[in-house]
Amino acid sequence: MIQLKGLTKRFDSSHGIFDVSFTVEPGTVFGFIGPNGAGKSTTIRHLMGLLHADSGSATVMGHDCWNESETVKALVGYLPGEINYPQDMTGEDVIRLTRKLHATSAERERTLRDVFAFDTSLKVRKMSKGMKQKLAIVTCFMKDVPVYILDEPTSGLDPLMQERLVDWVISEKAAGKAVLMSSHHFPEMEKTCDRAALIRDGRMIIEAEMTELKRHSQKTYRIELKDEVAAQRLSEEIGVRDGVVVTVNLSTVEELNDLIHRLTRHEVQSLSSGTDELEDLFMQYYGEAN
Amino acid sequence: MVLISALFKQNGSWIFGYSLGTSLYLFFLAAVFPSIQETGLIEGKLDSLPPELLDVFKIDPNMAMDNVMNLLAGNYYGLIFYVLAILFALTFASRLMAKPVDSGEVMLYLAAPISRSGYVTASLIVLLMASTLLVGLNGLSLMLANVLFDLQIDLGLLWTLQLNAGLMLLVLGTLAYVLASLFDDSSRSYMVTGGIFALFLMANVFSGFSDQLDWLNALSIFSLFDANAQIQGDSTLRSFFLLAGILVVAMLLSYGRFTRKDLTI
Repeated sequence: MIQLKGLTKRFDSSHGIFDVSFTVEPGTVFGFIGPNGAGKSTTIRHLMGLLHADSGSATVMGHDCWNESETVKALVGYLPGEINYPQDMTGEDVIRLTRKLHATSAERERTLRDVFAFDTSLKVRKMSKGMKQKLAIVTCFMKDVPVYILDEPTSGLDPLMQERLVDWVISEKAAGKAVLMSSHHFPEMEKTCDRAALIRDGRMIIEAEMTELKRHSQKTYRIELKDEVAAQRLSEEIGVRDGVVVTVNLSTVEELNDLIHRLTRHEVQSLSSGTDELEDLFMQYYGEAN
Repeated sequence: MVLISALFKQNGSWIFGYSLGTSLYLFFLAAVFPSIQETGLIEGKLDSLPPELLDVFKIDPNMAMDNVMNLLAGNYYGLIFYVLAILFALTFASRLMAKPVDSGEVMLYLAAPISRSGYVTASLIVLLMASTLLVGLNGLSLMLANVLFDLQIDLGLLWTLQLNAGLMLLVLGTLAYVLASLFDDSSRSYMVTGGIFALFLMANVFSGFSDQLDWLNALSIFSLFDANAQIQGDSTLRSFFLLAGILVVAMLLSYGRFTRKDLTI
């Protein structure tokens, strides 16, 4: 569906994207992760026919994104990272214009208006960031197309709307759509993505199935014990103690089972997992970047 | 068609502002002409002004003010129209190219199955509509004044002037559009385009200061719209062909530039 092969665009010797390759298959969500300025939006701009690559190719359903951009854009629903609609237009104006410019579905529009409800009579200049984001989500998904490209889709949304968007993306995936999603929001990536890639300094660092990435990520558990003596006893076996709390980092299922087995011998007050697994993994790479 | 109507709707306010504003100005100037003519105030005023100043405003001191078109040649179809045409062209290029690309608003259209050349075509059609509306309403307002105040306007001359003015608006608008597409920063493109047009205007103005500076006029695009010469019966064909030639080149450059441009929006 979406295919990038050795895509390269040099702005100068150190800026741009270099040899970026990945494929997004139908019925899957591909997570595209990276620090600010890593090249995520530059890659997406190639797919939307806004930038011409120095070498390599970007295609959607076999159509070249630069030479056949009109055809490609008819097949793609695009949610930009920065929402910049004309300030004097109302939400209703933007939706009406989208209806005329794209082949949209009236039924999808009705559902989207219910799910991501907001005051469409307001002018764009009067809208909050969240409202503009909801307007962009409605206009993006009004098109019933085989491919969606979402650049930071949950930016500015409240937790309820974030959850609704995640559900919507999962339903699109179930309907066989190919979704490319760039995001910094790890929980939504974990819930929706089948594969993910990290880009840094314009180069792909890793690309793998989510299950594979999770298997390799380190999980942190925070165990609170009854008193410091108990905590000291546990920390002599495993983990690092801080007062009555012992923090344990695990990488495999075997290590997790071993921990559970050990805990049966202690009086545990509470047990919680730390930061998101995926976030942990990518933070390691982010850290290396810094 | 959808794109053209959307762009025209989005830009309707300034297009109607320019068209109605200038048409009202022309109508009132034409309406007061009979009383000015009766009192002979204009001839007296013109006699008292230095010839250099008259040259700057493209007013021919030998031209008898016996017709409203002679009055308008100096009071509208000269320096005033040139400045107005510059502002019109800058507004057009800023609203349809520089600002939408700089702010990312153009993505509303470019995310749709619309090609870059389709966007340029739609923009230029909006320019054609805006220019036609401006010169058309200008001409109609003078025709109305002609009927109401019996001004004996030569309608052939009136519409030849309007056609020349319309061509000038199209050429300046398209040139400003090309220049705007060269930059990613709207304020920079505004400054550069304004600067180039200001140089054209200055060349035109300074050429009137002395016969030795007459050559400056050839450097200015505004020399291709000389209302005084047209009123005195000079042929306009050369100006028309030159303006049409510049227009075609500027249009081709617009397509060439915008369809190859990298857009970081």
